[in-house]
Amino acid sequence: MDHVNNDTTEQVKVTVLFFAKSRELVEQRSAQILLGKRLTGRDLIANILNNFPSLAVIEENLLIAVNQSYIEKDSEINFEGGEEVAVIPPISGG
Amino acid sequence: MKKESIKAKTPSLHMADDTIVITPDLLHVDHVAEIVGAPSAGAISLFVGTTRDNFEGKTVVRLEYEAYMPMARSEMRKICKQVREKWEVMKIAIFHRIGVVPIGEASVIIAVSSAHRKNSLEAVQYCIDTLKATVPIWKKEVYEQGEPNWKENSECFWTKKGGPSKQSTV
Repeated sequence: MDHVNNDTTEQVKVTVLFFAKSRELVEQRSAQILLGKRLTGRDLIANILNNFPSLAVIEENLLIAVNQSYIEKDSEINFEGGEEVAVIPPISGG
Repeated sequence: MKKESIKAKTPSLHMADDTIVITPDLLHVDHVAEIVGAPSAGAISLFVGTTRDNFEGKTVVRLEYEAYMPMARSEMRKICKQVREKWEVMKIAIFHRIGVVPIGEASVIIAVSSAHRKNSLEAVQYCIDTLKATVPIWKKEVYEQGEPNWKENSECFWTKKGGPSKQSTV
């Protein structure tokens, strides 16, 4: 987890939304956090877990969406600030 | 020439023929079937998902659904688009209920119309299978006894059960 905070890099503010089990674990629907401008999906998850340690129990199974698109762990995201990041636990619609 | 002009018209027509609704209100099969009706349709195929009263021997008293609304809608729109790439269908309607859904009521209704039944039957199956894999909606089962439980679809594309690398995030 040591690579989580990109120390000196510039940071931007994003909104994080929580749904279902993740909402219950963090006991809030949304929050604002600071993120490095350039992150992989994997780094983003690590960063969120760092900010919200109670999510650790579902870390294996959660997926992240940025501006309503699913993010793969290996893909790189460039944040400008103001993005909507969503924590998506396993879905169960239908 | 004639063929081309027909082709050019098709996309906008199709966009208008997709109905996507996520609502806390009771779903009615007749209403959804009516939406996809068309004079030239020879078939309307329907799927109705209803809430079950039991899970592994436990009595379920109610179900609670929640959705990431804008993303759920956009994922449903993607499903409609994929259906139109794969099958010749006329109208598609996807209705999903959210909030508390009492036992035995419909949580999801999907209806597709087509000239011939094979296309709409296959399209409906594709719609519900893909919805369960990609649309960010969650269901919590509340039991007569014991802790409530957030369910996980076996189709969910990123959990271990679903096999994360097999499906794209499209």
